[in-house]
Amino acid sequence: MRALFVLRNFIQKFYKFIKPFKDERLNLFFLMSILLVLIYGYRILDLSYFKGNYWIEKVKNQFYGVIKLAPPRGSILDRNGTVLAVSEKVISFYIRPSEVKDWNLLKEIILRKDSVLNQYSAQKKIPFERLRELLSPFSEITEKDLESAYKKKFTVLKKNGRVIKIPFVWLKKRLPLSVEESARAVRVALRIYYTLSGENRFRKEYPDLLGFTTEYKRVYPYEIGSTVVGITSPFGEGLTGLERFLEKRNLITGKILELSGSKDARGRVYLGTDATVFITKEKGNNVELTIDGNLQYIVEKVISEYGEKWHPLFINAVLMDPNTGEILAAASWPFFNYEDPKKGGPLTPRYAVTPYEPGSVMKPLVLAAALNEGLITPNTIFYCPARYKVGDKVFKNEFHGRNVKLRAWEIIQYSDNVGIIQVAQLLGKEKLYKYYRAFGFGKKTGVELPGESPGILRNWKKWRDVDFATLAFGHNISVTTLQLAAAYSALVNGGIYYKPTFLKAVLDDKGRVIKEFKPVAERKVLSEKVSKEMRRVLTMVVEGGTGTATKFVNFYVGGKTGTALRYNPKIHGYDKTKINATFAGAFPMTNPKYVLVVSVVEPKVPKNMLWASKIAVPIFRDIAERVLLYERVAPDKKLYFIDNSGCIESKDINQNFVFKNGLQQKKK
Amino acid sequence: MKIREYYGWAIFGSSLILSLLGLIFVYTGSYFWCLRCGAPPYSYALKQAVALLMGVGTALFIYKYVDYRNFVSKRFLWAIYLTALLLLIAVLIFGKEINNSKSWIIIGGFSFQPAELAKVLIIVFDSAYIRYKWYDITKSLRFFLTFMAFGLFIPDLLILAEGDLGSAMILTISVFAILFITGLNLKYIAYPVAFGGIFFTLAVITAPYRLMRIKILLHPENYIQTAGKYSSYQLVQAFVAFAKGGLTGMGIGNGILSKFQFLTFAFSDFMFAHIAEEVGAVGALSVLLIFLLILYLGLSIADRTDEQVGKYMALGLTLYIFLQAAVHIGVNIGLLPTTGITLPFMSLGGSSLISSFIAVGILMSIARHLPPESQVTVRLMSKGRYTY
Repeated sequence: MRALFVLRNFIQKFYKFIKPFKDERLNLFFLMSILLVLIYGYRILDLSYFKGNYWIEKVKNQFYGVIKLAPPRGSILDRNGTVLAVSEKVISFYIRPSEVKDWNLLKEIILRKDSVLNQYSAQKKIPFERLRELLSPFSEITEKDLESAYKKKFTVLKKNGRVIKIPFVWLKKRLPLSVEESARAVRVALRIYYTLSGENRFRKEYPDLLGFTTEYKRVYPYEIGSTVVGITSPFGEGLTGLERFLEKRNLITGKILELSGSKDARGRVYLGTDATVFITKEKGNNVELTIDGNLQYIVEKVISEYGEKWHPLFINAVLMDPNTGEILAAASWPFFNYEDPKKGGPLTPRYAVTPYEPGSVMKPLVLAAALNEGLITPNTIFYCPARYKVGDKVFKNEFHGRNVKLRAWEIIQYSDNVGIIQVAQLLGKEKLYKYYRAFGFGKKTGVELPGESPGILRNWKKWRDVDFATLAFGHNISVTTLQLAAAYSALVNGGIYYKPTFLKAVLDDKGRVIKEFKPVAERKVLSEKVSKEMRRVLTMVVEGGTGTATKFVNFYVGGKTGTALRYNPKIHGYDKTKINATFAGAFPMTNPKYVLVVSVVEPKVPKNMLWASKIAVPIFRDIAERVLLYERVAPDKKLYFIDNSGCIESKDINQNFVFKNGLQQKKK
Repeated sequence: MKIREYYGWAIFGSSLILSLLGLIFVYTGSYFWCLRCGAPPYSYALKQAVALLMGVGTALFIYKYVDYRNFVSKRFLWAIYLTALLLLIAVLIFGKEINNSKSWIIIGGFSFQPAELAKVLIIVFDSAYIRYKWYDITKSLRFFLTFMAFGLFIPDLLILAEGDLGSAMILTISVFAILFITGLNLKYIAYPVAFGGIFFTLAVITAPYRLMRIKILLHPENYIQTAGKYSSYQLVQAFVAFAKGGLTGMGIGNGILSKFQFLTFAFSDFMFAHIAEEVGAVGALSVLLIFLLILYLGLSIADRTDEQVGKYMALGLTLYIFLQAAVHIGVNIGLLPTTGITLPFMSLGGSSLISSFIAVGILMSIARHLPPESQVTVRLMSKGRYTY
């Protein structure tokens, strides 16, 4: 009974509690309110305690962000350590004209007008000269810049279809000033402005009416090797050439530093009070190229001389070390103009990108193939009739109607089409195709330039007999200058095909070698003996054939000319006024150190000049002469010594290097 | 001091405690917002403090010198009604548009929201007018509808014209609560309720964004990243604020959602979420209970007064305060669609704070004139409820 009484008492009390008022309607209100509060209370506990993590999970990414610090790009060096491309810190000033109330005052401060500076120096007792000196970084900003910035007022961005106006205008971009001095100048200018105008900078949303940002500008000090090195965009991304390639391989860009911190709703990241950063930014690695800046300069100088003389479409020149595959110089006239990109030539590395029909330069490769197969020797005699019919086409020899007998090496010397067709026919279609492929035609060389072309070499099964005959002297095939250089390297260096390369090593900023690129010997194409024979054969072209213009007194130089008519789409055939003139050669020939290929496309010269021997060979000669002088290579044709009486004497050496058993003398 | 006055002082004390707490939370919630706007970080809190002083002064003045019973006269009623209407019309003409609602008047650097004051005046007017024409209103439908049109519908329309749906709804509910306890024929109320229901349905159907708001309310997790006005971003940030706070909170001044400005308007529209983040569910529930206490005290005053006008006024003003709090918290915890209702006494807003303290002053004044306890007891013994 006692318990029942207590229970009744409790229920009564509770009833009185939830019905505290005498007015039933007020009680109803209060009851409803208590219900509401109970629901709210449950919901609050649910949100904050029972199911809290659910909502945090939903937006967990919004609280943390990463600041990325991009280090400066590494330099590109040539093989001697000369800088070809380097990043330089530059400063760009900006201004917020729409936030400036007293525009004339700020303008006069930036232009360093005497009246304003006098006023301030009198007010603050600072020497006038000191003020002028502090503001000197603004000396490059002209009134015109300021007026155009004031007229523009906003930078307009389009983002997600919306147009956003930002009160921000660039004043002057990319000035080579020091950061400290510019910061001080901006600070002083703003102090003068706020003092004289009486504005409160703390009430402003953008107190930095004037400011600057730092960025890295890519500088090319010597402006050589533009097609190799390439350029970067204003934002520091590699656009062409090795700048692009090395960026893709992360060789030149430094490690991007990522610092994580709290992020705010606008996406800005805060590192917090205890996150003072003492990390040195890791600079991008320097890359050493195989390019020799001096040789590159020589090549560019020579081809630009001839380019201005003959006005061809372009001239390519590739200088290569045959024993390693390293490219020492590669140039393509007309050159890129760094000051005014619209005026100069394109940045395309045409020696690797633009294939063309090479012409007779291919003949030594055919002969080398036949020698390597053991079908003939250099002294094998071929009967070359004046007219030689293959399929439905008649080929003429080089001797103007005479039927002649030629030794194999003489075919190359006189560049006889009929002779080389016969050599090729001995070899057969499949073998020729195999050798062309082995010399690197019809596929990319794998050089480190974007957009390299493989050239055109059709499969041997699709060759007709006439195609086969023309292929022997370099028609029906498209090659690039670089492919030719690589093939000639294999021809003269002992028969090993090296992959052409531009990269020598990756260095850190203290010059330590991080990664070295060794020469890649891809395959053995010819035997040592055949290669030596071929050196002798090529020498004969210069000594007494089509390339006599590049004959030196004290060096054996070898090579092969190639003249090919260009296909003209307008007349649907080969145009006799347009030629590709090529000379591929090596020097010094007894032990080749350099392979040089020069190709001139569509030179605008008189008709009697339209031969590679008149167009490409002089260029080759000039380059070879200067390269030999620069590198001080020991002569291999004549030996100089001082005799007992103290006079300089010379003596012919390597006399038996040239062939002497020729059957013909060319008559014109 | 007589015992019956305790009710008034208790309401005053609770609202003062809430206001002082609100001052702290306005400061912590607006610190970085002010910095972003280029103002000193304490500027909002300073404004609020000045408003608080004015509000407390006004409340004490009303308590001391204003007798609410004088309102029941033709002269006073006209004055109150015309003032309220003029305020509402003036804001439509001279008002400045901030955040899509034209509810601010700026005079000499001071900006205030006339609608806040007008709401209190309308509630005072309605309760006094019902007492003034009690017989006509309860007995004649025509008279009742005319009263509804002028006393509620026109002010509501004016407030809606400013773009403030929440305020209009709070005013409407408060006035209907007063009508509910007048002993009115409930059939009469059916007309305006039906009319309001149709109006509300039409409003939801015609404006797709209102429908969208309800959808967002039901499934906030589906609309977090949706850009534009159909986003539940703010609501979800409020939920995250509750979750981050947990039971005991992150500590005053440590709330990261307001600091990093994920929770926008942490000092006004999402004040309750901000409180929950900094002092946790315990603190948030305490605030909720203090509002319940204010309701209890206000209803007690309404219960004990022997004046009809005092009863209506006490009920209307108490509900005005409590309903604002209820709607604000309901929005914050995702039970009601998002409207721009501030938390009374706590959110930033001088006009709102002063108006709330005017209401507190009137409630104190009513409490001051409560009949002695003995009289109440006698009445209670006789019938159990009031008779007049």
